[in-house]
Amino acid sequence: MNVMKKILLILFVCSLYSVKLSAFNADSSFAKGNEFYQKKDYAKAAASYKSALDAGYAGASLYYNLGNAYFRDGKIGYAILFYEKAAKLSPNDKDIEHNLKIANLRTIDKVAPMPPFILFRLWDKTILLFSVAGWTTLSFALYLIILISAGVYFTSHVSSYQRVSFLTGIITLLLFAGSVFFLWQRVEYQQNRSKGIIVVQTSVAKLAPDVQSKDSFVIHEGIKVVIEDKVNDWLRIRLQDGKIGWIAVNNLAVI
Amino acid sequence: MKVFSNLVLRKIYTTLFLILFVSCCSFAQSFTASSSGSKVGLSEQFQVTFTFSGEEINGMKSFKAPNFKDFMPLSGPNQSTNMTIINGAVSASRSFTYILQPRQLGKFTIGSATVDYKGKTFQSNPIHIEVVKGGAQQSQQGGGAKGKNPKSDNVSQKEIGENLFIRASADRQQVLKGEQINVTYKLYTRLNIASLQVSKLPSYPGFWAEENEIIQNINFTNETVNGKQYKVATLKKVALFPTETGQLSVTPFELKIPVYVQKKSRSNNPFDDFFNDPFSNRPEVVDYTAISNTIKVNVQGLPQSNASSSFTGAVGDFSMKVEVDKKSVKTNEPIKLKIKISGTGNIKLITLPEFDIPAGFEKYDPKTSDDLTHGAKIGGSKTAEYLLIPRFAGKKEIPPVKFTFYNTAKRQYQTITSEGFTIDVAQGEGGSGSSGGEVQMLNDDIQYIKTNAGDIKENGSFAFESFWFWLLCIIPLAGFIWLLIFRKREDKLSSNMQLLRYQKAQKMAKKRLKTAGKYLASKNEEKFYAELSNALFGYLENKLGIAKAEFTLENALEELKNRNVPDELVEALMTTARKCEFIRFAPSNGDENPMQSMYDESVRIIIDIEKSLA
Repeated sequence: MNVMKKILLILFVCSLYSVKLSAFNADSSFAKGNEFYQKKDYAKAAASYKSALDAGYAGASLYYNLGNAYFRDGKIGYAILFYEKAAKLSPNDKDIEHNLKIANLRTIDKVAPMPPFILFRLWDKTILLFSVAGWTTLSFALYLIILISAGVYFTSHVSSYQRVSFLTGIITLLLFAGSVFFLWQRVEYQQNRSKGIIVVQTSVAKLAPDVQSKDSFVIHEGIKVVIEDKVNDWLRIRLQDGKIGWIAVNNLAVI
Repeated sequence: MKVFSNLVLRKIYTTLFLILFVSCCSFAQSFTASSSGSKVGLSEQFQVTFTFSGEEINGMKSFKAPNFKDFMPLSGPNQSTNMTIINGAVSASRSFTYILQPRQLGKFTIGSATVDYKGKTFQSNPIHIEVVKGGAQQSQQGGGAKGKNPKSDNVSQKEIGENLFIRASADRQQVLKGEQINVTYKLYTRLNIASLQVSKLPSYPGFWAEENEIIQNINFTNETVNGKQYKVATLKKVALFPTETGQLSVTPFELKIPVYVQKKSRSNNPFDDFFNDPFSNRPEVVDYTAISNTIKVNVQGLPQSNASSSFTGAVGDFSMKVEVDKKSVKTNEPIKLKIKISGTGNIKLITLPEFDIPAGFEKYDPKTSDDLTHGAKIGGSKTAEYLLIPRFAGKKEIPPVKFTFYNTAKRQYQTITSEGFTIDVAQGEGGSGSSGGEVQMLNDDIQYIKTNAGDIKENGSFAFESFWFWLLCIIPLAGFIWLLIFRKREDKLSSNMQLLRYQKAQKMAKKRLKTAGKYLASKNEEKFYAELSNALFGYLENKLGIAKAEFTLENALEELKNRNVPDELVEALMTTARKCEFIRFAPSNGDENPMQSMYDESVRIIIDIEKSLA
């Protein structure tokens, strides 16, 4: 028992320390950015948030605030990019959703998206029900329930206890499998880098990955595209209305 | 001399020949032109005849008519040939007749026509024609044949004009721009007339004209003008709305009216009655062109001083109705806004009022329709139906619509203001602002930044990627495994003790039986039975793994049966055990045999059970 207590204490201290260590730099950059934003110095606010990003930190609130700073600074393409990034981490945040909508209204092109198939939408909604942390917590809780019911099942000699724990164990096991699957899907979704935002004011899409190729169409800042392929410095993109073209890599930022 | 005589002779011949020839020409061949009258009315037809006379009419060829540039040929040339034989002398004539109509007023000359006759060209004389206005008083010329010409009637145009005329009248001469004027065209007649034929409709430059009523049938009424009784019919009633200022005029209305006139008898000629055919008294039809007077109207501009900005030229008396079909909608659902202006006045010239739309609405070009009512006062309604599409949710105000017109009755400008509308727009399905084009600046703005940095962590690291997470997962698992192992060992331990007891059972029984044997030898009955039952029950306890506290004979017997021990053996055990217990608590007096037999029986039973359980 004494050993157990010691281990727990060490774990607790370690975890505290690790949180402290990782939040230290990012937190101050974030706070500084917020200060600049408050003073309406949006370019400096953006730079401050950006420094936290460059230091290797991420978070929905960081992306969201950076998006706001870019929006106020008139860089609609980057604003949309970071709102999209924030939405990816925190899909059910109303503020992010709202600001993304407002920013999308400021884009020059209006590409009508094709309505997704209802089952796909339902699937996406299920996946986005919880964040990665949410799915992880759920899976962990279910895992604990499985262990407890298995423990009861194997140690108890009272048959009614055994029956209940067996049933609980089986159901929880199924739920656990589902939860882990959705966690995996959620991680896949978050790590999906097949979508991008046009960040230059005007981008000319070509018919082939070649400067001499004929122009296919022209798109403007802030448009969301699907990245389908990459050849050298060219990306094959597909617009939401199905148009396909090749644009230079630097015209686009991946969400 | 001979030369002289030759010359003289030739001269004589030539002279003779010339005399002969000329007489022949003047006598036998002539080419003349004549017309039915030297004075003709502008609207009258007349005849021009070219006549060639000669002995041999067939020798005449290639007739060329003059150019009738000032006249319109209606028919011709109509050829006719005459032959006359007087005293054996044959004379023939061929005439070419044209019927012409003048083009304009003035004096004109019809040039010469030419013919070739026997290699010679003959020219006719030119004719002078004077074209006069209206029907010219024809000079009484020619014989009976000419008198039959309907044109040569003896009723003057002036006379007809006094008895048949069209009068145009306007109800006012001084109007404001856009005010209604009523013009009436009336036909006055004292003559018999046939069906009317419109030759020229009036034109209304600078007006918007609308017929008050369309007159289908002409009904005559009696009216006295200047002491004369006329039959009067209304031909046309027109409402005019001036679109310009200044002196405007309406061109006359022209009608061609066939008039029945009674032919006057020629009292100066006593033979006329005699020669006139009996039908000459029937009425003759004369075409008469009646022309109305020209109306002049003085149009003044509307007062400038207090004309409002919403005035778009409406003059009259109007009312306005503005409606929306629904006041609460979802985004992207259309609303219909209807502006209807109705009343009397220059309804067709009105421009419908514009209105402002709230931000976030799209306005489409309206569907307009006119509805005109005829009558003494021209009126009707003009409707515009706008389609409005709200793109964003919220409460939106459509401001009141203003319409200004000049009220002719009150002689002042009047402004009507409609009520405003509040439209409740709810968020509908689908994204807002999906329409293309310029996006309006919205009142909606982005939300403020977040101040809680709790979710910021190192990029790309998920909770399950950390060492601590997996440690947290392993701890309960380790606990679970430890629990399982602990439990297993305990189980194993308890099962080992039973085995030990099982193995020891026979030994213990032997030990106790040996002690019992000692008591049998010393004849200690009480201790013998105690030891014997101890041996028996102890053996069962150990062998069957039943705890001492839980042990009863019934339990043991049940357990034995379960372990497939033969029934008679169980029966024997029961009997012996009962007997043993019985004697132990109720001792008999000194009988040796039962002790010995009980001992033998117990040993046998234990051996048998041992055998059957093995």
